[in-house]
Amino acid sequence: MAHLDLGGRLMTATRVRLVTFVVVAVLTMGGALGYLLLAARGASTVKAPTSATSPSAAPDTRGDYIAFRRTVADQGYGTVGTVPLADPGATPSRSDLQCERVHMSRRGGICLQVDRSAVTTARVLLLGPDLSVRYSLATPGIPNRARVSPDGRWAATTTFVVGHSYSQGGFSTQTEIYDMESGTSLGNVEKFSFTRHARPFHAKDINVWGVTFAPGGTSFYATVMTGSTRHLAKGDIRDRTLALLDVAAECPSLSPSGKLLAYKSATGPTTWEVKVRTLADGRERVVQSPRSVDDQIEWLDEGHVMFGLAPVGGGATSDVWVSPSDGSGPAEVLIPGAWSPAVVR
Amino acid sequence: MYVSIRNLPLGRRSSVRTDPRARRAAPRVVVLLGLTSLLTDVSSEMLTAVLPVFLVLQLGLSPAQFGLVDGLYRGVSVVSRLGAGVVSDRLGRPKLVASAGYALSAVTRPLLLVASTAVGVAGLISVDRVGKGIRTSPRDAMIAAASHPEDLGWNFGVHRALDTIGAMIGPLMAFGILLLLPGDYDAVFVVSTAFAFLGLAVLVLLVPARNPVESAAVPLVAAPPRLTGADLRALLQLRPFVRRVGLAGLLTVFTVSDAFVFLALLDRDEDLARVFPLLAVGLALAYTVFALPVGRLADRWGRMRVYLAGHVALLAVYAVVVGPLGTVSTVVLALLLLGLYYAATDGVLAAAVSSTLPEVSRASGLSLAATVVAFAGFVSSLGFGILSGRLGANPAYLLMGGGLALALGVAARAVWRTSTSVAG
Repeated sequence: MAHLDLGGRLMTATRVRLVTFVVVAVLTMGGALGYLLLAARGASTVKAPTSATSPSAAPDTRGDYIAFRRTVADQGYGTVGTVPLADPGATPSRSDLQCERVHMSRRGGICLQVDRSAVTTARVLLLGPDLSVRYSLATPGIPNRARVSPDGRWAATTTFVVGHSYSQGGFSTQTEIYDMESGTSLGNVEKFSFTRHARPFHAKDINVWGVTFAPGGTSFYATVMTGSTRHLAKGDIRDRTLALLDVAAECPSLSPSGKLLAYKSATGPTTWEVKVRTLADGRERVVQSPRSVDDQIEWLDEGHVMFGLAPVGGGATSDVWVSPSDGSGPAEVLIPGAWSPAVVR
Repeated sequence: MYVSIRNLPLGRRSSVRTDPRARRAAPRVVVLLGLTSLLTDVSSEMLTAVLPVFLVLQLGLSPAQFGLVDGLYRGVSVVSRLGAGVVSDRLGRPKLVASAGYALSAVTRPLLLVASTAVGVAGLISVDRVGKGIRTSPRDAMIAAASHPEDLGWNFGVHRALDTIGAMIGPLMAFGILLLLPGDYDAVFVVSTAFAFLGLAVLVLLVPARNPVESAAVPLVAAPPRLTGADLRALLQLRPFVRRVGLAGLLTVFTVSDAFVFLALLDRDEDLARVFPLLAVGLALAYTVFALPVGRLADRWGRMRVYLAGHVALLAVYAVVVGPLGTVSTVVLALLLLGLYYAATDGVLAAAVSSTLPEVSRASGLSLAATVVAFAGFVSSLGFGILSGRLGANPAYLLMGGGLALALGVAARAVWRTSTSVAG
């Protein structure tokens, strides 16, 4: 009797568990499927913003202007907008061009897009002066930085190439330089010849990011990281060389005159301040900012730098701030709802 | 009766169940635990596939920040692992501890939907990894407990194969969702949440807390054995256990992490970066295919022998990576050999170690072994990083290969001298 009782109880307990499991399975899988179907219907009724490769709404590129990525949460989120340099507070003129990063010169520019349906590929659009697409190239990774030289001759991108968990993480940056005239990539900058203290330098774990071009010519600066050390490095496009300097500068940006270098300087594991270095004598000043800056600096003019800041606590709607390059005054918002500014004059 | 066998290693308890027909298939518990791992891996691997993009584009992380998050991801699970093994044995309830680990990871999934800062996401990832650390050893102890001693390799193979199938489905599913809903990371998080809780439900609702073989052999009133300090001290004096863990640690010091192998492949041909995620899928596929036959081979021929043979496959990986073959042959061969290496080491070591462990300290022993291997892996990565930085990649592979060959020689002597039967 007792055995039978025990058996019956076990049976019931097993059945309750089985039924509970079926309920959980239906709820979790049904819920997930329902969410996907609803989301898919929402995506098809609200016409998804197309990642246009050519602007139909013509942005205003006459006169001196600032181009940027719009971050106002509306239909135009992520598209390129422009405001007159003389009146940055004006209502931006809009385009349909979707860019994670955009950078412009008078003679052309670059737009770095993410292929959101592929995850691992970025698209590099080399642009004419009116934001029209001249060349379209693919590069692996997630967009991070984009720059064009002041004369519009060269462009550079940095992307993250990320592994998969089977490789237990592990990322590397890929930085490519492009010839804007021929629309070709000169390849990964990691393949350039590296030197340190005038001697060849080799390391397995080299990562390069954040290219900035010197006015005219073929020289540029970038960040080179090996191990946990970040170096400022000076490179040359024609010679395909990169010389590591003993300056811990990250994401450099040369001023219009080429005499000042703004860069990110780490203040903690994931916090940075902006410093401006006078290249001639190595004198450095800290630029004021309300919080940590994680952006490649853009120069408004020789006396002012610009950078994007996400709202406090993070979020997608960032603003572009301006701050005196000698650290003499506080930063203030220059263009609300903007990211990746580029000055064209 | 139970007390009399609690300190006997599994390998000497072959009288518990001997019907070979019952052993052809893996026990239900092993398959269910494999299913739990499969569903949980679908959940976590689909996150791993999109997290970099999400972190960098949505939350604006820089390379340095990403590296930091990545380091957290890796380091945290090792710390929680050791403690969880001991707690599991101390309570005598591996299922409870494993469930807690799976639950901890599962609750982080929906929270990703509301996390809007990099710090928040990094915190959630760390909690997820603590959960992974907690669950692994108790779960492996459950697999060992449910296994006939002669089937340990096969059963761990079944579990690891199911686990790896989940790791293959996860990224593919994430890519599929993003193809359907471009840029909709929330949808990925929602589906990931669903799979995490389904995996947890399989464990909590379908896996019996004690395996039926033992509960039938033991009166229901008998309390399960509880770990004592004396058991832990005995563990450290258990020669077969200490020898196997020591050999695993020694070999792992010369094991180049597959992250480096993948980077070496990338260096060979930059175009590979475009199909980088496929490399991982290919590796997982190779691992899945080899896991079962290699597990069976381990049971027949000897687990430590197969474990050593796996490292011979790894030596071949080094040779292929520095070798003169073309890109495609190099990649295919490297992935096949790496898959073979994983099939012959990951589950097989768990099987080889559990067969030396008494039930009372099984989870503790497994977590100790895993910690030793993880630490050796850390030493290896550090060493390989320095070597390849100073000397370049090829000499570094050559040195690591030489070290591995020497270590294999030492290990082979030890294994063949001590293995009088194939039971280990």
